[in-house]
Amino acid sequence: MSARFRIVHFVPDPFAGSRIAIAAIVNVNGRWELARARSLPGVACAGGLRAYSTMQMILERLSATERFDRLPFSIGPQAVLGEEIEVPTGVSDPAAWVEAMVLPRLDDPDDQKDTKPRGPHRETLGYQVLQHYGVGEIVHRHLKTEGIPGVAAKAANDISHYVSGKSEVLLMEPVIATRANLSQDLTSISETFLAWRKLLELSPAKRHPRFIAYVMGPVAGFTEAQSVLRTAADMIVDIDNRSERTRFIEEIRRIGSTGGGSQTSFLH
Amino acid sequence: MDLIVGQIERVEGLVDFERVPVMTASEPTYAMDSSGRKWIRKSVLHTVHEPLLAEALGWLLARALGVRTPDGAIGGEGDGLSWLSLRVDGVTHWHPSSIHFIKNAKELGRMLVLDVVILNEDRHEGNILLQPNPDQYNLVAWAIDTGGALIGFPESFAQAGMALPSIAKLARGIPVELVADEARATALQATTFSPYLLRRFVEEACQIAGEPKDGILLEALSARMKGAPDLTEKYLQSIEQRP
Repeated sequence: MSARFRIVHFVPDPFAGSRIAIAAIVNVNGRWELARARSLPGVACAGGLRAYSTMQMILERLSATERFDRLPFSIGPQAVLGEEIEVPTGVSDPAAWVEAMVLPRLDDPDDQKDTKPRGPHRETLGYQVLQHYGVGEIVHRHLKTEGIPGVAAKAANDISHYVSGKSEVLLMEPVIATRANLSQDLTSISETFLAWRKLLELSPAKRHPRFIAYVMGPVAGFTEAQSVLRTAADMIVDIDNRSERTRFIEEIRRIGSTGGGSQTSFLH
Repeated sequence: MDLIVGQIERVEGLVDFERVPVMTASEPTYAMDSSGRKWIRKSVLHTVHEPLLAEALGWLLARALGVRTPDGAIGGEGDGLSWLSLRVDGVTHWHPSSIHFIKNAKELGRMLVLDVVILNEDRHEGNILLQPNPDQYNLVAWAIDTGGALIGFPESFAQAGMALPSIAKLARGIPVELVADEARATALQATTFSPYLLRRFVEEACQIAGEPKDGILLEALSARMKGAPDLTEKYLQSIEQRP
């Protein structure tokens, strides 16, 4: 097996010249794989929150790497490729070897505690996006199970966003596919939707509920959302897709315009 | 050089650092001035004078139209004469998946009007910078680099009449639904620029680039500014209809 790799360096400040190894592109018999550093600098070491966030964006976009000789154009000027280096012969998994032997790693996970910013909540980000497209006034936040007859408070997680119309209600959850804990998010959304479905079966709503997940981020995240939420959601919207986004926003406007209030009691 | 009131700063004492690691014919380098300001420097040695004219005039119009663009300046002389763009710290290039988090997305409408007016067909992903402010969920978009606009070639610019810029290289995913209103308002604003102001811009940019055909340029630019609403509407349509 012939394998070579090139390290991807994040350059927080080209004037100071410092470089941080964050990943590597590994070429194995002409096919490339991505090796990611198991240890990344925290906010302070990266040069502040802006630099840290830029580094995160670069890492997200590395998944679009298609070539060994250059980085995806969208990564911009603050990441560069290192020289081509050979992987020693006899290594059976070159990408894993580069991750373990070459890229930065910390053996003790405690060493990296508190170095990552918490970042905004998924619900908050989703609502910001809905505001961005001009439907923030129509969409309500945090639908609770209180108010459903015969249902105990906190019988299920809140629904992040909802739009109530005359005969329909949209129950919506945002999916931020770039979040590190995407799988956990999707599992949680699935459980929430399924729990609400059960509750509304037991105590039927006056308005027809539709469960919608709206996904932003890489295609791989949308695919994972489709897989995990296929039984729990009525609709999974890729809002990175302009036509899907337009239909989704128009649907929110259409349902919202028929009026339905913002109280949990609208369900019953 | 001081006969007209210059809007574009002249910067002295530049020191070059590394080349900016992007693929472009202008071969930009990082540079720093004596006060510590960090610039992206494009020397006429690599760009010749036409892009310098396009950069200077594009920048003056960008500022007047409210396009978010970094500070611009002129540095050096002779072969070292350079267009300087203040470095925007911590950026990636444009990517459609980031549009939901761009806080000044509407301002991209202003950028489109600028591109219509100066016939800029070079608004690719690398010429829209995304800057976390402070994080990746709160981004600021910056428009950079008008060096490829046809306005740098006065005769060709005049011959183009009221042609629209091609969108072949335009960054994909610009959300027309979000930017259209701002674009239309900015296009109307463009029609109100006084002949005096436009003349001042053209004269200053031509003086910097050593371009003698400022009369042709002023006439063509004035016509496009007056026609900006119609041109912008057609440009938005062409973007919206792009497959």
